Amino acid sequence: MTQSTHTDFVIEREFSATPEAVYQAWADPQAKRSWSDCHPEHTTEYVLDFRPLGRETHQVIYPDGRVQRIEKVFFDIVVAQRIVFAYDIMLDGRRLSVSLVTVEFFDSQRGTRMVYTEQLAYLDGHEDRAQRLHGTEESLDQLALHLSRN
Amino acid sequence: MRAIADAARLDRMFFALADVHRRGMLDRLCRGPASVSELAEPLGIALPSAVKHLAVLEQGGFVASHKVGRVRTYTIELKTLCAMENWVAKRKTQLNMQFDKLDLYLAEQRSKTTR
Repeated sequence: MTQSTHTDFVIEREFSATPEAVYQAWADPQAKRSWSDCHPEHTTEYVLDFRPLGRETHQVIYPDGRVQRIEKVFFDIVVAQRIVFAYDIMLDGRRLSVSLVTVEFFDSQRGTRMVYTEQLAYLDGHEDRAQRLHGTEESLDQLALHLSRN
Repeated sequence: MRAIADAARLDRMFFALADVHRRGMLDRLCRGPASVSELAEPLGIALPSAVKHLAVLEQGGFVASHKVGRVRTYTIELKTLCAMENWVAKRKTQLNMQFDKLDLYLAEQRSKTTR
C-alpha cells in the first residue's frame, strides 16, 4: 500500500442565471443528471436524494468492462447559497479518492459566480498503479530477455 | 513508461527511488520545477547533500536540470510518477466539462422561460 496524499483545488465559474437557478440545477435530479452525466450511454445506476445526509449514486460500466462508482453524501444545504458534500470514486471496487466539496453561489454582474472547492485525499496509487505495474513488468521482461541473451 | 533495455539502467532507477529524501524531492517536483535550496529546505538537508541526491535522480532519468544565471532548476522527467497530480488534473477537466454543460443547461432554461 502506498501512502495517501492530500491536495485541494478551486474552480470558479460565472453563469448567466440567478443563484436560485444554478442551485436548482444541482438540486433537481433530472436537471443534475442532464449536465453532470458525461457517460449517459454507459450509466447503469443514477440516484439523487438531495437533502442533508441524502445520497447521490452514479455507476458507469465502460465498454471495456471497468466499473466506476461515485457515492456522494450531502451534509450542508443552504438554498441558493451553499452545498457541502463528500464523495468517493471507486474503480473496479478499489477506492481511488475521497473528497470534501463546498459549492457556493454568489450574486455577480453576469448572474452567479459559483465557487467549487474540493479537498481531496488520494488513495493507494489506483489506475496509474496498474499502469506503473505494467511498466515495471515490461522492464523486468526486458531485463529477463537481456540476461537470457548473455 | 519507456521500455528499459539494460540492467544497468534499471539498477540506477531502483537505486534512485530507494531513498526517502529522493522520493521527497520527486513529490515536490511533481508540483513544479524547483531550485536546489527549495528542494533541500523542506527535507531539512544540507545543500551539498541535496545536490548529491539530485545527481542520483538525474542519473536514474527521473529529473532534468538546467541553469539560468547562477540558479540551477530541476524539473520532473517521468510524469507517470506524479499520480495524484494526474488524477487531480483529470478531475478538474471532468468538472469543467460538466460545468460547461451546466452553462448550456442554464441557457436552455432561460430561453424556455422567456419564450
